[in-house]
Amino acid sequence: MFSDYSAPPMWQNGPALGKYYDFPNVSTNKISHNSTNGKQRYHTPLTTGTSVIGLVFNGGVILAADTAGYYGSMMRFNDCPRIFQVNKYTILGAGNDYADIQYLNDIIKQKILDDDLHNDGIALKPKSLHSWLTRVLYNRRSQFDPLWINAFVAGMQNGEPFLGTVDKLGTAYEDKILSFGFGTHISVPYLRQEREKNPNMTKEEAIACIKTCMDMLYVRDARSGAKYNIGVISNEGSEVQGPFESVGHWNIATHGTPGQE
Amino acid sequence: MALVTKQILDTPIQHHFSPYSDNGGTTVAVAGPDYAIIASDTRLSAGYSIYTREQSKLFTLSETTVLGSSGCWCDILSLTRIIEARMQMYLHEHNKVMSTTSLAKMISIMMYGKRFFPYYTSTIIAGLDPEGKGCVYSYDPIGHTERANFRAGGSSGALLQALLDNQLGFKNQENVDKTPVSLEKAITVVKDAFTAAAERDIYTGDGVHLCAITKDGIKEFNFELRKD
Amino acid sequence: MVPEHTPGFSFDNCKRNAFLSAKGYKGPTARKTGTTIVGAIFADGVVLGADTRATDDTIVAEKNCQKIHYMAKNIYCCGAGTAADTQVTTDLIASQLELLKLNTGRIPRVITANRLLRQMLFRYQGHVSAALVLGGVDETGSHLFCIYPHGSSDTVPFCTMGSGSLAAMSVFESGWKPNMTEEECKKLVRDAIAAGVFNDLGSGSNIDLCVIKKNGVDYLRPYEIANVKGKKDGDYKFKRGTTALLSTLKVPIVVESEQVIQTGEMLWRLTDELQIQYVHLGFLYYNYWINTLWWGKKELTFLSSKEIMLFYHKILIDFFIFGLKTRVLDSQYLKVG
Repeated sequence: MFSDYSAPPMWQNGPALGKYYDFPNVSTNKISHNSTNGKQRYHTPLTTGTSVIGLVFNGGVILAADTAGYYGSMMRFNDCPRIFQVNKYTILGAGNDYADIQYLNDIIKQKILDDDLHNDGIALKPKSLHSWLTRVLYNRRSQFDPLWINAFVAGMQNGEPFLGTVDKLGTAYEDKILSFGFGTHISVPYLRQEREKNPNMTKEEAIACIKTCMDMLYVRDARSGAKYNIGVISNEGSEVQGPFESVGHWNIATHGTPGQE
Repeated sequence: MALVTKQILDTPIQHHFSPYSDNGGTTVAVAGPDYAIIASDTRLSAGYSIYTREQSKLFTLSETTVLGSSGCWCDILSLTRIIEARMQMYLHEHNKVMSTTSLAKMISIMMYGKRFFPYYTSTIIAGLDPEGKGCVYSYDPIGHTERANFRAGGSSGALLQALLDNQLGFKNQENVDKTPVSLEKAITVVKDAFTAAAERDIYTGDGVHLCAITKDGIKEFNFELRKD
Repeated sequence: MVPEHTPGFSFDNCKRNAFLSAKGYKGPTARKTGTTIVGAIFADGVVLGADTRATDDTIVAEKNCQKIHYMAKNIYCCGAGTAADTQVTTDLIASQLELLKLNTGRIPRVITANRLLRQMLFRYQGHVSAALVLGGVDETGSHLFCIYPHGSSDTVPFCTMGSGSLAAMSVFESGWKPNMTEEECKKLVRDAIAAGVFNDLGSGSNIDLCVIKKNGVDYLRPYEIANVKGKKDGDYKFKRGTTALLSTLKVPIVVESEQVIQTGEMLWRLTDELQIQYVHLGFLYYNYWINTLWWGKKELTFLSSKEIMLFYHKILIDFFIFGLKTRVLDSQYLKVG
């Protein structure tokens, strides 16, 4: 890629003599339209998945997401799982555009397959997958053709739990509690409160917390579904459990007298 | 039918996509005669949400240089990664670690290279120059750079620069000893600056990560800030 | 002279402002209370809660502002949205409730306050951006309403509003149960506000609570100082002489005349104090008289109208003497010229 001895040029992609600069996705270049014909290249999310939540417990990580696929405000698909087991070290969760999630998951599956074919026992680790995702998503956003995804990587690396996220811009960070979508507003405050009370949660306690969150999201998020999956990873290995089902409680709707204030 | 399809395809999609986000955060750096310090808060946020309370915005580039950056976090991650890669290449080519002054120029060129699709960051680097003196360079998003003795950048930049001008630059003060402050005093002022910023700026808070760079190496400190 | 303006909003500058903004002028922004406000019903009443941060874009404009507004003795109302709108709307309806109370001689009901607020907000079609949590206790029991800026309202056993509403709702959704004790409910409301304070950047500082029960109101402000102001390590006092002296001007004091007064001065001072106390007493009696009318009680004041007249006569005379004396005293001050 680079010449043998020297660093690559710092400045490239400049306009050649007599040509104009091709601004990314800006159609100010009236003289020569690029191949996109002045049309915006990026798509918008069509079939979407809502919140994903992640929580680190003592010795492992949990990811959870429901299985509803929404088409606008219509709940069109019932079985869109969004928690995937990548390998024994890693679990992937994702929200937003389901087509992009499937596309990305297919690529990751192929990567895993390639890894397995070497048969050398070396497999993609969570931090590597997280880092790889930041590059993929950042490059796509820089081409103004983002993958409309919020990805969550949970796993074990060097015996330590890892939980990280990347959004469609490539914004990446790690924390003990992560979430996307409505869950950012509903689940994160609850989980932060619970973790403050009990910093060394056991797996069972953490699962109970996650289930409370999924129940809350089912009641308060209009784009949620009752069925959800939970991915659990610890030193014993990784597995995706479920689907579980939220029951919901609507009894407060009967508060007050009908027909009155 | 074909006409309808063509119309749909030709109509620009209304849904808005912005490649940038403002993730907040503040960076402050001070250069002294034989030291440099740089600090950032540890809150990463967007809109009214706190993404995480524990994200330092400092990047240790070498034994003598630390970079601090706030603004669009995905751009910061990319910028710093490319800087690190280029420093690696420099090391392999010249068999020496890039100096703070060389780095300062390289970052400027890299940023200006993206003049028309900038890295949306407020970046500051602090370190020791080849003579062992402290130095601070600050950047605007498209690579304008300037060496300074102290600089505040990010969401509280405008709030804190005036404070630093007064406390470290002795601006608007008569009859005071204007010799540069000691490392300890500089750390105190920087820490208090963050305490003050956390009171009034909603994007600054949770904690401070501070690096003090001297000829003996980089010393790191962590302080708590308000969490609301 | 300042022209007297008619009651209600003035729309005088609307066209001008629309023109200016079309030209690209950015007008000043209103102060928002990016807020967490909540309310919950418990066994014998209602608990309202609020944070105390007011923001101006990304800057904290006020660290301890009051968001639980008085509506009537038995009704309070939390406000989120534009600070001025919440303040004025609640004030306006509070005075209407007061008048209603005086007219009917009855304690106003919470549904009345709800209806008045809704109708006011609906008339302005959402331009008065006040999102409210209205709570109170009346003879029909405890009530809680959630009122939206466009004029709709919800009747609910617990509710949250403002930018921190989702954070607060997570606490209610996971912890609320019917017929809580007062202490349980206060704890839950505190946790809900704390969730907003620590997770929503628009909310912050302290936690205010207001407990409304049949037999009275506990307005707890602050209920908890959730965030202590950061302590500074350095010393930021400036030494004398730090401020630059640009120019100096010497004005000599010239004594024009001298007068020494030996007697009576102490006596006058004493009577001055007494007079001030008389005035206080006068207002006290006046207030008492008005209060009994307000409360619609049959038994009136312990002063007869003749006594009141005499009393005010005395005050008037005292004022007259007081005025004379101050004039005398004034003339004895040193003149500086």
